[in-house]
Amino acid sequence: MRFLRTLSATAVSAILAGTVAISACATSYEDVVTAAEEAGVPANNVQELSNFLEANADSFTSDDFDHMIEVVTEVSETYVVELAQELFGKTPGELTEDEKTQLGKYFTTEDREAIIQALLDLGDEYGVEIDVDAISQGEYSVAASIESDSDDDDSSSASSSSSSGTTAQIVVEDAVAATGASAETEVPAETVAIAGIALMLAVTGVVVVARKNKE
Amino acid sequence: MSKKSAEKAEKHAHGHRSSSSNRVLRTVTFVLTPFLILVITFAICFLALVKPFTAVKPYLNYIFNTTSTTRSTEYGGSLNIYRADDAPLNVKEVEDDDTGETHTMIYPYYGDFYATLNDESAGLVDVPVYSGTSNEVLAQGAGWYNGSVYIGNYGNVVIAGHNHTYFYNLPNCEEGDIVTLETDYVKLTYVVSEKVVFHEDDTTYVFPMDDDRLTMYTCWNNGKLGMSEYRLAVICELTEREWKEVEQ
Repeated sequence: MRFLRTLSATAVSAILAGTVAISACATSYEDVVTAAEEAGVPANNVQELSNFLEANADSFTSDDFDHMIEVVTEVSETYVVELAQELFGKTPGELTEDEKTQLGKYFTTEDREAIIQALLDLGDEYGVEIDVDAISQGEYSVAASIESDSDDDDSSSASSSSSSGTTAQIVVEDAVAATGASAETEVPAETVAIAGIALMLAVTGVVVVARKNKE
Repeated sequence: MSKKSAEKAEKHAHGHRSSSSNRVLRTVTFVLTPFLILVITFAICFLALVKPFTAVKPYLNYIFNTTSTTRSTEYGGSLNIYRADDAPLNVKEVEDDDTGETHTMIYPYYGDFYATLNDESAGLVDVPVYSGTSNEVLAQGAGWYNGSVYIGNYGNVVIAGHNHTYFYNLPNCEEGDIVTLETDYVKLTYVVSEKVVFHEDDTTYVFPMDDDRLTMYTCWNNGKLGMSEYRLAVICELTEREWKEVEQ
C-alpha cells in the first residue's frame, strides 16, 4: 500500500540558517527545531517545521535529524553567516524577525538556486520528489513528496518506519492570509456576456421597431 | 357638391393631421426610442464594468448565499484535495514535558476538518475550522494557520476566516466573551482579552508566542465587507484545557 507523504518548505527561509556550533548528537526533532531557530529561520517557518516533525517524528531516525542539521548548518555557513554579520553585526540566531526578512532580500539569484539545489539533493537522499515554484521575485514555494511502499525493500530512512506510518501535511503559506470578500478587480466574464447580450437585444429591438414603422 | 367639398376638406385636414402625427410618430420611433434603448444598454454596461458593482457584490453574496455554515464534526470532512483518500489518521500519544502526563493528539492533514469554534455571545456558533489558510480551505470554513501551534499545544493558536462568511460576526466579540475551540482530542476554553487592528505586513500577532492564547483574525475594512490591507484580531487568553479520551 502506498502512502503519500508530503513535506513542504520555503526555499528562501526554510534553509536560512546561520553558523551554529550544533552538537552532532541530535536525537530528536526538537533539536532540529532549535537548530533552525538558532540558524535564523523566521519564527513562523520554524513553527511549520516543528509541526511537521512533531507529527512525523516516528518517520525519522536520530541520524536523519543529524543530517538535517548538517544541511542547515552547511547552507547557513555558505550563504547567511557572512551576510548577517555584514548587515547587522549579528549571528543569525540573534536576528530579529524583520532583520531575517531583510536579509533574505540580499540573496542573489545564484544563491537562491544553490539553496534550492541543496533542498533537491536532500530530497534525493530520502527518495523525495521536490517541486519548486517561483511565487514572485525572490519567493518560492517548495513542495516535496515522499512516496513510500511498505512492501518495498527500501533502505531509505524515511520509509524504514512502520508500515502504518503517516504524515500530517504542512504547507508553507502566507503568515497573514487574505480574509476579505473578493473585490474582483477584473470584470467577471458573466457580467461582460450579459452586457453584450443586452446590447444585441437593444440593437435588434431598434431594427425591428424601425422596420415595423416603415411598413 | 358642398357635401363632396366638405368631405374633401375633411380628408385634407385629416391628411394634415395624419401627416403631422406621422412625423411625431417617426420621430419617436426612429430617434427617441432607439436612443432610450441605447442609453439603458450603456447604463447596464457601465454598472457592470465600474467598481461600485464589485463593492456591493460581497453584500449580495452574503444576503443570497445559501451555503450552510454548519458542518458535521465527523473527522475527515469531504473532498480534501490535499491528501489521499486512504490516508489514515495520524494519532500519537504525547507526553507533556511539564506535567509528565500523557495525552492523545490527532494531527490533521492540510485541508482536513480540524475543530469547531464557538463564541455564542458574538454569534459565532459551531464555526468549522479547517487545517490551513489557503483560498480553497477558507471557502469551506475558518482556517487554522499551520505556522502556529497545534490546537492543544502551548503557545499561540492562530485562526483566520473571511469577513463575509464564517468570521462575519468576529467584530462582535467583546472582552470577557467565552470562546471554546474543540477538536476530537481536546477542548480549549478562552476569554477574549483584546481586539487589535493591524496591517497585513505586520506579522506580530500571528507569530509564535510564549503564552497560551488564541488569535482569530479577519479582514478589517472599517466595518464594511471587502478586501483590506488591515486585519482585525481578537486575542483570547486560555483558561482551561481539557484533553479527551480518543478511541483508536
